[in-house]
Amino acid sequence: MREGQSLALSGRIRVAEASLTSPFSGKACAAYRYQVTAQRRNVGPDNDTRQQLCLLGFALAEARLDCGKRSFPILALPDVDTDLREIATGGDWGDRGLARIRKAEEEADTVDEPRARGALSDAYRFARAPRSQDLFVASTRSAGPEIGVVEDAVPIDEPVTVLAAYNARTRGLGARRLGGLKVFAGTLDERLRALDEEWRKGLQIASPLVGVGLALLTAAAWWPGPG
Amino acid sequence: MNEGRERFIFKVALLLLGAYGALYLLTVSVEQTTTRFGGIGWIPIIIGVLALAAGAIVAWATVITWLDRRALQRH
Repeated sequence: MREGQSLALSGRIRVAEASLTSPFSGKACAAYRYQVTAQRRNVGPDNDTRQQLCLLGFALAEARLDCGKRSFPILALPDVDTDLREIATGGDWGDRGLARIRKAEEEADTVDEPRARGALSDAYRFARAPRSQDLFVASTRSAGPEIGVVEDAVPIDEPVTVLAAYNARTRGLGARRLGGLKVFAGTLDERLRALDEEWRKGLQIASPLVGVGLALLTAAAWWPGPG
Repeated sequence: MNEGRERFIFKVALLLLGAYGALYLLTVSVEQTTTRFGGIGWIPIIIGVLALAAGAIVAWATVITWLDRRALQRH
């Protein structure tokens, strides 16, 4: 394997010591990322109720991808496929999101959204484990039912497929130049079958919608005239 | 941290540029359609915008899925 080579490997992620617990689903995991969005607190004279990022956090434990004969340390915060992502509005997660916002309001310093997103983007490129960061961006006037939560969790001891770039110096898995380090649920063959089906289905839905949309928006150009 | 922050600002700038271009094209379409068909021209415009927006969202997700599939297949 050479430096920077893109790899797709199937295996199970093992953590060196204690695993992490994802803040909303409560699952034991090797890494997680969450964001909490809600209506911003300060509304202007136009009664603007724009949704805004309030909290963003991520964590990475010392973890390795165990492929059987060989194992590779994980050198960046993994992005995940949709199977490993959970999205919720309101409910139990909304209440917990609000409680976290209120706690951060009292205890944490505020950072602006570009800085918070920038920190996450940097962690997707490289993160020295163990690493954990919680960033408070803004407060909210929303109640629990209006709070949106997104959580990614990288499972431990379950079959996963990892798409990454090989780092020859550390013999580990880092982020690819484009697309970072991404974790998919299941083995390589299972994932390929599922993605094949997904993209064909997506194409079948997107093509007529885009076609109809473009045709209707350009009707003035092609609709036959009275004469 | 600064590199990631700059990347984020660049992405937002690109997104705003894209939104500006789409709005400009929509304005041209509305003008042409209502000039040609009058008030009834709003019906295809509204349906067209909704269909195109939904199609664009699905197309975006499909492109990501296709790129992932291609990357997994190659390696």
